[in-house]
Formats: sequence, C-alpha cells, structure tokens
Amino acid sequence: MTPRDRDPAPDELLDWLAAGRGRGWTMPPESVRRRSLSRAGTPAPGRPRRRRKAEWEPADVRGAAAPASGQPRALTGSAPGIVVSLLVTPRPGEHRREIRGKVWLEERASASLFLVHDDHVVGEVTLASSGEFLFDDPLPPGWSLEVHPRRGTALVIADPETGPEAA
Amino acid sequence: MGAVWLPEDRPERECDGDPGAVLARLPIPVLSRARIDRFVPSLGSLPDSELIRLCLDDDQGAWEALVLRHQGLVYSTALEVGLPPDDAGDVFQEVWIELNRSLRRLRNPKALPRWLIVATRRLSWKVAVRNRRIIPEIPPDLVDPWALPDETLEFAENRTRIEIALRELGDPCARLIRLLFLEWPRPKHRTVARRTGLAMGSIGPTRNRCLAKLGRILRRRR
Repeated sequence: MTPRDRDPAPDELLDWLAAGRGRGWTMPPESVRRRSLSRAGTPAPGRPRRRRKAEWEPADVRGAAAPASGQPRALTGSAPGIVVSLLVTPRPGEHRREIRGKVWLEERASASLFLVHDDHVVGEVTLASSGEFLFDDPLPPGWSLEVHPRRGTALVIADPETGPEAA
Repeated sequence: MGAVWLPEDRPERECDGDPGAVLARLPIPVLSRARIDRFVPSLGSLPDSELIRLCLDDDQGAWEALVLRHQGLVYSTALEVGLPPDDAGDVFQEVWIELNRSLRRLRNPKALPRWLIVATRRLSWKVAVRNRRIIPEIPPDLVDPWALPDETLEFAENRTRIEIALRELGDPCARLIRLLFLEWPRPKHRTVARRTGLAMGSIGPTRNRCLAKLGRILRRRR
C-alpha cells in the first residue's frame, strides 16, 4: 500500500491484517478506560464569527521594535467590554510557551478563554473581571488565544511569531 | 438510527374483525440485544463523523463508542513516546478531555485518528515535562502536527478500519481474529483454543470463515 494516497482496498486490508501488521496496540487498563467513558466539561464554542484581533506591542513602551524571536512578548488587547494583558514567554528546547495574563471585564461579567492550535482547543479557563490566567503548554507556532465574553464580540490574540493571519 | 418498538409501546387497538387490528394485537417477540444489533446499526459501526455529530447532541452512547474505538490508538501512542503506564493513563484521560472540548472545531472528523495522535503526542510531552520524566530523544513531531510520519498515520487508519469492522463482526469471530492477528506477543495455538473454546483442529477453518465475513463487512463499508 502506498501511504496516504488512497484508502486501501478491502482485500489489501485483509492481507495487511493477516500479515500481522496490525499488531502493536496496547489497550488501556479498565480503570483508565472507565474514567474517560464519562465526558468531562462541555465542548468549546465553534470558531467565532464576530471577532476582533488584538495587535502586539513592545513589552516596554520605551523599547523600539518588537523583541527578537525567542524573547518574552507582551500585549494589551481590547474589544467592547474586554481588556486583556498578557506576557508570552517561550521555553526554547522544551517546545513550551508560558502564556500568563489578566482579563478586565464589565462588572459582574465573565469570559471564557480558549488556547487554540489548528483544530485543537488545548486549554480553557473561565474568569471573572480581574481574573488571572496561566497556560504552560507545548505549542507549535500558530496558536491563538480566544477570549469569549458571555455576550458580544470575541477577542482573538494570534501567536506573535506567526502573525494575526494564524488566528 | 431506527427505533426499536417494544411491546409495551404498542398502542391499544380495537379488533372489530379487522385483520390488521388482529395482527397488531399479536405479541411481538422481545428481541435479544444481539438480534436487535443485526437490524439496528450499532453505534460501534457508525463512522467517526456520525459519532461526533451525535456527541454534539449530547449522546453519551456515541461518546463511549468513540472512546472504545480509539482507546488502543491513544494509549499505545502515549506508551510509544516512552511514558510509563501510569503517565500514559493520565495522558489518555487528558486526550479525551481535549477532544470533548474541541468537538465543534474539528475540521475533518474523518481524520480523527490523526487528530488523536497529534493530541496524544503533545500531551505526552507535557506530562513527561510535568512529571520530570526523561525522554531520550524528542522527535519534532511530538509538538509539530505537520511532521507526523505517513507510516504512523497509515497504521492508525488501517487499524481503526479493522477495529470498526471487528466491532460489527462481533464475537466469537472478532475474538478469534484479535487473538490470531492482533495480539502481541502472538499467543500459542493451544492458548487460542483455550480462550475461544474451539478444538485445535477447527481453528483453521473457523479462521477462514471469520476472515471471509470480515472481508464482506469491509467491502460493504467501503
């Protein structure tokens, strides 16, 4: 079978099976499996139709251009009823990014933050105004952070290393 | 999914000599689960895309079917990264949490095995760092979903196709095929006979019949 160019024919699949090439899967213990048969949490909303993109700024207003790749970056972004301030610190060699920040919202409002890469919602947190957050995850370039208020426009913050089009 | 009409659901009807009404009053045999599954497609044989759609409608059975179908792929991928079984169990749980969270974002539900491999590798790396495990070599595809080798994906997709067909095939054939072709280390003939209840001499002919049935299922599902 040539990989990835087509689906195998049933007979090819049977030959593949009979040749023992399907071996190698280990099933999880019952206790592990049972924990995941109940769903935890709720699905994140779909990609926001109405959204505002935040622009990155130098971490230090006295600084000139954006920091070099691999250096921490700061951002303050806003949408109606939301202000977000965050600092992204890459951890070279560990493929991790620490994304730390704070959200200000209208009185008694709350918002859900989703860390997204491609079609993976990597992390989630729900905060009230002045709530702080920290994501520390292995992330390839191209991630985005979405701030979804209960009502209104979502704010999307794109990975500064790949640009706003990544969101 | 078709509904199963059980006797207690049947509306009361007057007979009045109407042959249709007489027929309607005849008792409907209560079907065993196995017989119902022959007529009503079970969740385990539905494609991933349909199970995901049902999950978004809060169908708990569809969620369980997804977990049971792909449990081997997720757990084995975590072990392949080099995690000990306890950590692989943590990763297993986190992958399903991430899938549940991402259900509305999946671009291509048919490519779920790929999605699961990408999530499992990334989360394995996260758990390894968190628990200070030493993984000798960090392959770039652990955190870069575009670097996933074709062979890895081909294996996962073929194995998933077989898994779906085996669930439709059901026991005892599915059990025999798993023992003969999917279990590792390969069990001895005597062990296969003991675990299936077959005589040693009938393993070969039964295997051929079961493979033929599996082939028919694969052809129909194509």
